[in-house]
Amino acid sequence: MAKSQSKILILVVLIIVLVVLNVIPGVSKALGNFVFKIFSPVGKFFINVGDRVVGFFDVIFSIKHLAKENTFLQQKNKELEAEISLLKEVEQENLVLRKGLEISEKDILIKEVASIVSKDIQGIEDWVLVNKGSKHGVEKNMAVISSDMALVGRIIEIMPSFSKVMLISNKDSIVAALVENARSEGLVKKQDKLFMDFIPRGESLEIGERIITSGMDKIYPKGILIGEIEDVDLSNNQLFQKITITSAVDFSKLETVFIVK
Amino acid sequence: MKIVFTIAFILVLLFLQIGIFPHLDIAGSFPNLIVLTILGLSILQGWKKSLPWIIAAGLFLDFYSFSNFLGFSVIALLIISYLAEFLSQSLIKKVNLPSVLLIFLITIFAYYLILLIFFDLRFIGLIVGIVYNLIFSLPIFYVLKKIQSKTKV
Repeated sequence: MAKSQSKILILVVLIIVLVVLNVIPGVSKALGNFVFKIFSPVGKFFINVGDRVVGFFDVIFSIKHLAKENTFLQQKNKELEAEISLLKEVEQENLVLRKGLEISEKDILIKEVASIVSKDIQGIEDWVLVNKGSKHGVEKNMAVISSDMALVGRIIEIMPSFSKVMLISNKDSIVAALVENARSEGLVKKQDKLFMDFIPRGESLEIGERIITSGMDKIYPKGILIGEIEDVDLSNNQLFQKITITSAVDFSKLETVFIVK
Repeated sequence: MKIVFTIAFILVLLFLQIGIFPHLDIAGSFPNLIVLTILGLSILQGWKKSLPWIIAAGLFLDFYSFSNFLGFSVIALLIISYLAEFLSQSLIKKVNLPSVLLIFLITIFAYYLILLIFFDLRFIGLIVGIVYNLIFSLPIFYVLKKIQSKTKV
């Protein structure tokens, strides 16, 4: 009986301590930073192990499609090689023009390279924890991109050594975007999938077209790849068309990201 | 010594949850190994004996969740743990497969209701989450029962 009472007493004391910790500003963040500092290497290790295990099964399940995929990739490679040689010419021309206009070579400035050390374990909100924080000059609302320069999300909470990144797949995320070829503007949000709406019906959009950031929200720099058009909804009862987007990032396999300004 | 074992066990669950379970995502939901373990322990040994587990698991869940209120998960786990014990000892006298499933169903549902205070859950995510956790609940319960009978957790 006495043991049971002491347990309840411990619980009451703990709840009081937790309430006090929540009331004093910055204490819970500092505690979080301390816990992440201790456990983030193990967390990162488990994330890597999880990715490897899933990657292994992905390979096994995709073996029968490999031959078909190989032919497709070879074809794609030839197309891309042709495109690269064309782009090299454009780059050269661009360099000359930039020099003339005295514009910085990089509109997107990579501030930090960060590793993902934790993910949302409840699966309710899409966010990741990265191992760079205020000590490294990371600020709230800085954009985060993947190693292949596609949009991941933005910084929403900063601790001294860590930051929380809200992914664009989070239902609270809004990104000002642009259809690359059609130049139609809109907002990319998440419902069941990523989508962009309020695009005038007259705009001609094609499946597979690239969606990039427009920079209008003053958070994400202009020109970062968000994804590709997966589907165009032209329902008759709508004044606008709505497009579904496939993100260029596989969020479940993210390991390293760039924090950009 | 017991508390070290508890923390170590919760840490293993936590890192499995971080590393493996996000890959099992369906409609944005995946099983919560920690919550299921706490529920299993509460059915087997009651909420008071599970208190060290609840505190350790709740604190880690809070640090690794989006909630900015430290202690939220401790309170949420306490409520569902008490509910699990109440259901298993007061309402359902005989602990068998259907009754264990029913207890898990009610308590998981209660957990999601508590989460609704802080999180804006989508209906489909909520339903998938409950069903998904329910599928994993029985294997976890019987593993815990086996461990308990051997080691007296």
